[in-house]
Amino acid sequence: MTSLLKTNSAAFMRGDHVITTDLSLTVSPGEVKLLVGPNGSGKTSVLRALAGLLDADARIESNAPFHWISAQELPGSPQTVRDYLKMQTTLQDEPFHADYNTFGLQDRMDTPLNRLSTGWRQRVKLSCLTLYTRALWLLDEPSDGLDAHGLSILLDLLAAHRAAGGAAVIATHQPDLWPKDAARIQMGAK
Amino acid sequence: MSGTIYLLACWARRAGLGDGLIAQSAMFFILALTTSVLAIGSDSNLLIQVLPGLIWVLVLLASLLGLPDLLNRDAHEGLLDDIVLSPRPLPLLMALKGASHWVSTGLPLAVIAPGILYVMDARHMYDPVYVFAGLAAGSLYFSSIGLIAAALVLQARRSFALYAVIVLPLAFPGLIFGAGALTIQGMGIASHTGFSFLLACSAAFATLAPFASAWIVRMKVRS
Repeated sequence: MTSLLKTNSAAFMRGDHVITTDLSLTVSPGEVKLLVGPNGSGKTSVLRALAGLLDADARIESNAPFHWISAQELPGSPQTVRDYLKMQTTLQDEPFHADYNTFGLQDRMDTPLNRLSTGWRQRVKLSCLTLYTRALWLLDEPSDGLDAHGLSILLDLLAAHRAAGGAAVIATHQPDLWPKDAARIQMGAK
Repeated sequence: MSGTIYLLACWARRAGLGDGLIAQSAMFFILALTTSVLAIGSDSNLLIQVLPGLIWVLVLLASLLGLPDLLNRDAHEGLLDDIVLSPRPLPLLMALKGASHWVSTGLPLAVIAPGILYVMDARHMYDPVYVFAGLAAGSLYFSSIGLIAAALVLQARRSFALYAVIVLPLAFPGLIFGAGALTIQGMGIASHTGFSFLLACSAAFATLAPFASAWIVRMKVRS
């Protein structure tokens, strides 16, 4: 079984600045890896490096298409949920299906983003995971702002994704929320 | 292709209507013009003579309005990551960003400006079509410079003065040729040299800016 993502180097560097040492990571289909560690331990930096969004001095082998869900808050713009999701799919050059039903968003498709609460905005962001299929998910604090129902939807999606041969790397400060068999990668404080 | 047009429409609608950039630029333009006229005085000959320069300076200043939100907010909301990760060519997406700025600031002003000729009774001197064409090309040039400035200023805070410092000097050629071409037309001289230079500047910057800003954005996102 070939891995979806592999890093061989021992350290993630950013210029002279060490993000983390002793991190070699291999992600195979069906696997979930959790990046855990205190604030400022470099979880987001490692995820960004894996996504190719950060020049890190690390050898990263990945050819798998991926989803990148950042921890940044969604626009508080008057754009509707439908327009936002359609923009995201168009940006990724994927077809958009209007009959859309994940995260309970079907009643809120025409609601402007600036009328949604933090939790609902997080749901909108995560719903990009189901708009088009990607073998690898890179998620930065995906459970932030989600209620119990939202979290259970996310866990169901993750389970289905793994069953279909997908994998995920998740940065989280609540490792207990995630499946028990998910491998934890402890990152140290600086 | 249809995806490209959709993204342009989406971003232009967000900037132009969602943020009210069209209304802001139009209001700024009309109020600043009125203020200038009040300050200059009631000598209508003088007013008509300085009108080309006045209009062009105000369009240039109005083109600064949308720049702080052009890329900075996308970076804030994580959308810039998605833009960089998109399989679509980044220079093309940057061109769409620049175009969304142009259609929500410069282009509406190019449409309004010929109307000023009627209000100020300058119709006999300046050709409205010439005013529109010059401003449309000129504001495309200003928006292109603005796109580069927005990429350069990315991640800087409280940076409005920086936009002016970057954009205004680079806009001098467009301002000189554009306002100059209109003044010469007002004198009744049939020369298109200034207008041709303006079109050349505009074409050069509109072609260059998407590539330059894509390069800068990619570098900034990864640093």
